[in-house]
Amino acid sequence: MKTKKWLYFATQADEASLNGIDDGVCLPADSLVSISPTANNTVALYFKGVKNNDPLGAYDSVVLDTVVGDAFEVANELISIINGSPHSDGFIVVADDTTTQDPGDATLSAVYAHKSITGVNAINIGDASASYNDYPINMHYGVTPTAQPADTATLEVNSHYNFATGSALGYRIPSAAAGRAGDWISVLYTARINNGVAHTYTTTTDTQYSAGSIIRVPLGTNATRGTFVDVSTTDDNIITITGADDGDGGIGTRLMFRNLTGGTNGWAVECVIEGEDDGTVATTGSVFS
Amino acid sequence: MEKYFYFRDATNEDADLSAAVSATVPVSRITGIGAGSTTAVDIWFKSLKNEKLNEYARLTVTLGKIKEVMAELVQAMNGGPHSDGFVVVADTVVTTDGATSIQGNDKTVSAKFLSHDITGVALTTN
Repeated sequence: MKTKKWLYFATQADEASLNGIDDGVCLPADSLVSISPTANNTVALYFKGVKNNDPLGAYDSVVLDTVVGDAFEVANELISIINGSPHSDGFIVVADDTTTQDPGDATLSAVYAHKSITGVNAINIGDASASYNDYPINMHYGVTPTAQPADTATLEVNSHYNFATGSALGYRIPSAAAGRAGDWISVLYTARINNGVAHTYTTTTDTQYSAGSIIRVPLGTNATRGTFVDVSTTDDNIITITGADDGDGGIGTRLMFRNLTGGTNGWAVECVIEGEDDGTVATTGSVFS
Repeated sequence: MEKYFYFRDATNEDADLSAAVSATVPVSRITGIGAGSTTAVDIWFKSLKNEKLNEYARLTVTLGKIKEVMAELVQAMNGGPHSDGFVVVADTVVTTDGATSIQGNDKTVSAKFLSHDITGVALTTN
């Protein structure tokens, strides 16, 4: 079996401060994608992302302090080490700045794989985060609609629904953590919601929609039905749309759910509430809670 | 032969219900090993569901043994030519579950750790 080489770097002089991935890290040599100088006394090693699974995400890096003029020698030695040592257990200390043990405060010797490496300048491990740019909130037209389920049902992910029920309904949104980032649900109303009747969309296990989700009401046909926006905050896990004659819940009302993280509270939603009939009655009772 | 690391964060098997509790991860999917605190080592691996954010197992380790645990993990990846490839890094189960299960119900078993400097595990997976 071929030995897989791992490269160790630590940038803290005192082991008591070795408490984060930017202080000490062990990276697979086969994630190394390039070595290049960043100054006449620093050499950067770039690695595929530790935390980031995005193929276009920025690479991580470890910057080594080196003797001025020895960038070539350092790069040459690193490759030699990676490809050599056939009897190694695979763990290679490239640069370890630690000189004080913890606990105990005993004095240690810093360890460097080559005499021209003088220290670890920085360990840069990028974070990754999903956003609306990765998973846009939108309707999924062109998808054969899934049949409208019975009241209280949990909607299926990656499904588009056309709803045509005026009476009261209360649907459930499945656990975001049970799915994966990018999952979606879209709902289009093809019939109005009856006057005074509420339709609700409640998360099942999640305690809130992704903060910053919105309910949006476009301008009606007169000043009375003005624009309205409700932005979700902590603990908002219910969307209520309350039908009204000439008010909320008209045909064309739509909800677009997108699981942004695949984790708890990952569901973001944009809900657009169209006016019914004349569209002259102000929105009321259509909010997050 | 591909090595697989196993992690389980439950004291009773009846709680072994999701990827947040236990996971078996091919070593080739591990993207890095970093310090999480002075007593924690994080093993990062590619997302179990191929999401944008990678995931990790956090090992609780003895103070002052970050580097040593990292070295032992690498040795486990590369060692044991007679192994079947399944490497238990941390399994905190001490009580079995299931009357018809191989180990039986409510039997006391020992937690297993790859190193004596590993004392616990927690998974951060979606």
